[in-house]
Amino acid sequence: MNDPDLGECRELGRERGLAAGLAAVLDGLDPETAGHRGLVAVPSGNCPAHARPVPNHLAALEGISLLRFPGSASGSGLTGRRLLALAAVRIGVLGRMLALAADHLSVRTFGGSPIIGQQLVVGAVADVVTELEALSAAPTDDAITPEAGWARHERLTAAGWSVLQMFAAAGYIAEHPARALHVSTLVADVWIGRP
Amino acid sequence: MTTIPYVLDDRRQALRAAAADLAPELRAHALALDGDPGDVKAIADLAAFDLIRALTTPADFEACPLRIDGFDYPPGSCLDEAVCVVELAAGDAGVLLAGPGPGLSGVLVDNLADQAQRERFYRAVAEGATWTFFAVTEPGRGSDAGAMDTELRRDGAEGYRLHGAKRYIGSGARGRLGVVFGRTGPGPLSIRAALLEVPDAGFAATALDMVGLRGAGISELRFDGVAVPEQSLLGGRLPVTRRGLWGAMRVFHQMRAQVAALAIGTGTALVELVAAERPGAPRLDEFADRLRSGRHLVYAAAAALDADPDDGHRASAAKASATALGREISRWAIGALDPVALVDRPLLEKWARDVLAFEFMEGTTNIQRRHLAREYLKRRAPAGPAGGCP
Repeated sequence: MNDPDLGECRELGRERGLAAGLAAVLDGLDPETAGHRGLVAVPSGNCPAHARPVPNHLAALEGISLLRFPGSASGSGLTGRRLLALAAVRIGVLGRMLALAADHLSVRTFGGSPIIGQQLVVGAVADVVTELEALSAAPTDDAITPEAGWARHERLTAAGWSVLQMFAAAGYIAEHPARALHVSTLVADVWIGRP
Repeated sequence: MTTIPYVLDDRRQALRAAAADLAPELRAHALALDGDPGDVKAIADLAAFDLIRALTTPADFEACPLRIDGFDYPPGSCLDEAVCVVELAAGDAGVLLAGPGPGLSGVLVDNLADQAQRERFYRAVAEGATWTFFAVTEPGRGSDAGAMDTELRRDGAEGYRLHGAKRYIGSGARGRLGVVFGRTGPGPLSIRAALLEVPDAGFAATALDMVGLRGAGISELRFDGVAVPEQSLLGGRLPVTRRGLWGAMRVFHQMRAQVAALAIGTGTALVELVAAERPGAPRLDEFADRLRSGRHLVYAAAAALDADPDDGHRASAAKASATALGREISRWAIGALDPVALVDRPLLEKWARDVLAFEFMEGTTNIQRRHLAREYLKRRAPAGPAGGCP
């Protein structure tokens, strides 16, 4: 696949997770030539013999490997359609994690009341829902500039942090499903060029 | 809002310089400890931990009272500790939190313990590399300490049995002793703190695999009928309103100032890393300036607590502000550098994980916001005639 379908990527991120979504984003791409100075994040299990694994505990738990191709010429990372496809995967992951967070907040109490009903929390949920809608409606023009591409992924990172805060310390445990949000940020930081 | 004056005189400048000199030794262990947080043998004797221990151990239990450039540093000053923590965290906050010493339990012991309990606690800490834990938070309860489930069940006339679990406890699996909170009955005044030396029977501790700040050794503790003699309950000589959560609140106030110091230190490390890799990076001066402001707010919060240990609202402001700034700086730092900096400068990736932890320590930002609004509304002067705006 050379032209990732954004709706499919979002669905993959939501239903099958970050690694499955990333596989779709990278399908048909030669990572060795695409990564910034040979650095890539790929679904685990696809390590070419000449690539050097970069240990990353959290990414490994999420089924993603960081690799470095020694001597590789500098690529541009993910741009255009693939940058948008990674954003779509991250939107799917974010939507799934927000639903999990809402479940979590519905059963947790503070001072005897469900946390989900507290105004500060309601506001935070509403802000993420708004951002998800806005990001889902964002232009899908393949000619997205590096500035706009980085900014879009930063908005996803910020929204992900809002969701991580809803899980509180539980979302900071490596085995927690919210790990996907931490790794989603790392994957974008590896693949998306700086403006 | 009024500003609490504090003085960073020659004495404190000497302390600050001494702490800054020790930061590199913490940083030297940062990546190894992040990779294997269970291996603390290599760091147990770092001089930075001696410095913190000397500032937090009462003089009658400290064999080496702190003296720098002819200045003395009596223990117990939240400001002195904050001055050091900012500098040391700029070395590495994860390693700093991996150190042995009295820690949070020491603050509670200072507030609640009788002389025999103080002897027991500080003699054990003075025996060398002794880690301690402070166990309040429970699975599923988070910051809602008043709703804790852990029970101190009466077991004859001589004591209690501890049943329950605690989670997100720093150095929990390394600790030889610490303080555990539980309830002797249903009401809020029934919550008590017990000094606990790790027993053989009925106690289990498991280190949790955390995203970052892994040196802190965040753990889960389980108690299945651990024996707690009556004389291990803290605060017995105090009024019932001051035996339990009141003491915990004082610890939380102090810790909020110190967590803010950790965030400012980590932010400083990130800014210095960017400055070294990309001098003149956009917003470098802005973040350096905001870190200076954050440092002053941390100092002011700590000075306010030295003046009144129950005056924690500035500590809440410092913590909320510093944790947000630390995370903002981490995102800026990653964006300011080439993607390969994540692996070529692995501390960048580590600190970006570490800085998130401060949000979840000693009350989330929403908890601090509640405190701040409540205190402001309680203290504010009326803005105009009764009846509100015309």
